[in-house]
Amino acid sequence: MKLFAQHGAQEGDKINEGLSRGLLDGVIYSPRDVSLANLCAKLDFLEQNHATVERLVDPQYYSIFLNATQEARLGYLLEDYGDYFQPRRRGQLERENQIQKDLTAALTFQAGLKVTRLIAPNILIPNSLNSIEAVIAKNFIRLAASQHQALGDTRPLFVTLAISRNALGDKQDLVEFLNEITLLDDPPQGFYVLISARNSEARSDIYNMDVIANWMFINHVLTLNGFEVFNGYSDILTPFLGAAGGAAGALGWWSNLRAFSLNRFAPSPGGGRLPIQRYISQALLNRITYFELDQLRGLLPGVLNNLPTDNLYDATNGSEPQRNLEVVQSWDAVKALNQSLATGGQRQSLNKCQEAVVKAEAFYDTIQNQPIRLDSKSNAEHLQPLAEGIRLFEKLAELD
Amino acid sequence: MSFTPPADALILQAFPQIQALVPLDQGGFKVVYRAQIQGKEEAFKLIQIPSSAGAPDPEAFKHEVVGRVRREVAALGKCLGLEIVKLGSLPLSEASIAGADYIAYSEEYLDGTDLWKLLNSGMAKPSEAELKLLFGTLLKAIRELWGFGYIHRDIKPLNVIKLKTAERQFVLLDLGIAYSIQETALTAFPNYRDPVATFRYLAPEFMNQNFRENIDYRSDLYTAAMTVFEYAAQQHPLAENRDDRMKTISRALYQQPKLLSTLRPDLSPDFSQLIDQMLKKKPALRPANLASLISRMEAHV
Repeated sequence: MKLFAQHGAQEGDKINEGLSRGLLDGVIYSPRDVSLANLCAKLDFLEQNHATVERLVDPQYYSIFLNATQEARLGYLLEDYGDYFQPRRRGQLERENQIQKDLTAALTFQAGLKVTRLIAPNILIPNSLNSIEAVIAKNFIRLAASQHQALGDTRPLFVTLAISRNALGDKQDLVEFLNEITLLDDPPQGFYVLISARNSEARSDIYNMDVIANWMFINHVLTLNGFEVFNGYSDILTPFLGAAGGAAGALGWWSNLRAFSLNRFAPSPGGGRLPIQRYISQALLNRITYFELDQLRGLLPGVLNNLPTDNLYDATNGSEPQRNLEVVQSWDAVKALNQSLATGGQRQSLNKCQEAVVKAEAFYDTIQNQPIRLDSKSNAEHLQPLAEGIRLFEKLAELD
Repeated sequence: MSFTPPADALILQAFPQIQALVPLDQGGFKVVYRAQIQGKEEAFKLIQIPSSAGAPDPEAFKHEVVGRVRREVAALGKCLGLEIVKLGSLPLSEASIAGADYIAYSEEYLDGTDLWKLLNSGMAKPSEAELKLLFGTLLKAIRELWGFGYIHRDIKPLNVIKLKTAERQFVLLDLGIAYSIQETALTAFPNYRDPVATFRYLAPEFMNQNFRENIDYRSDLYTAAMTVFEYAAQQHPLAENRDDRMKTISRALYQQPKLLSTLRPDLSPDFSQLIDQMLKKKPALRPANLASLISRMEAHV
């Protein structure tokens, strides 16, 4: 299971740090957050200095309906990426020739960049997999490969599959949707899968047994049918998606780079403050604040990962890391989780995931006996959905 | 349901291009003979158009029977691969014999034995190489049929012949209930009848009342894998011989099949797991990349 950096605003030296430490297998760039000139320079740099690393650009076309919205936060998309990012209304995309044109524009644009694979654009399916938006999305998927072939570009083609967690509610619709996209006359090599939450802070949107099970199921079905699956914004779920068959996952430094949501592009209510730095504990399958880590590490050393990036959380400094290095610890921990959970055969890998959840529950029980109160994001609420999500996935995939 | 075929002499009189009838098989309203046609040995298929007396809509019923034979012949005429039986020299012809209506045509004569007979003959368990050749053959047949928009819908050991020649070892027969995604459905009164199928080899999705909306060749992958499984393990992955129809359907819908790897531990895990995966209830869980599947089978043969 590969791990990619999910690029976003205020990159600084974070990705370079992750690459130089050997934690990343690739980068998924966000055009919204980087000028075209800078993007080209970054891709050049990666090609010259990290030749084996995947260089991908998410076209972010799923935010295109916001193009007409005043104060939408579309960043550089409007000015630097206008070759393919033009205002669209849903009605326009109900016409196949418009989809073909937009696919060609987006793929032609990417073909001029030093990316290792091309990612075809798509819209977000917001409410139902049995909807007009789902039909539009299927048309993007169906038509992408032929538009790609017409360009004569030999790099592998991935197609965006962006689904709202709300649209995953009906299992029969999901099964039928997957039935259709796995039987294409002209298939791409893979899918760039995004599952959107209402907003990136809504933990329960993603840590929900149905969402976890369905996301794993999507990875499983697509992989079975010969597609490679790269998951965007998959954060700590990455190894679980890997156990289901996924080839890669990604996470970035802000919470909106760890959970996908169109809120990132929508007009902002303003305000907000910098989040408290956190630490991913493999034992907890969760992030805890640095001061919770500081309290716990003396009492329960098992909370530490024993990875090189533990040093970034210096106990003599109250375990507070440099803000820009928090993500490096996240990548290190998720990469280690990938290596320990998403390896071997599928059955073995799923068993390891289940065992990891059981162990995390036991660890949380131990914490409860300590004089420490974890905050709402650090607690064990994610574990039951994870455990049930895996079980439900096994049922859906007929592995039980 | 069965019928008594007309006397040979009457058949020969109705179809003067044919000589020397030797009965090969009979089922439903159909009888198959080995026959001499234009000096060549061929399989002569004679189908009675059932009397429509008592049927709620006699014309619809007749239309279905004749339509199925026409579709079968049309499909066979399009398929060029050696994995599917070829048409013979007698084109589709209608005749009236002793007051009953018949439709007939010929196919190439295949000198071999169907897998069902072999399974019941106490044969030795086939090698992995043979099983891969069988599955590869069925995959190629499915690919060709799907290329013309057909789903065979009745792949089973009885409809696969094992030939005596090394260069062409298995051939798929009988497109009698083939489904076309490009033509009007033939089944009369579909809402009041069970799906047209052999229930022992029923892909679960056919029990969905709306299956016509989204059926595809993955149903054939299921039945092809079931055929390979049964041929390999010499037992059906789901059905029991004592089962009635309801029980057979219930098993197809709800019961997890046996694992080939447990019944044939000598086979490679890669092959056994593929066959097991093809027997999943949800079509999307059956790997559908035919080119990749075929090359996997050929790489190992």
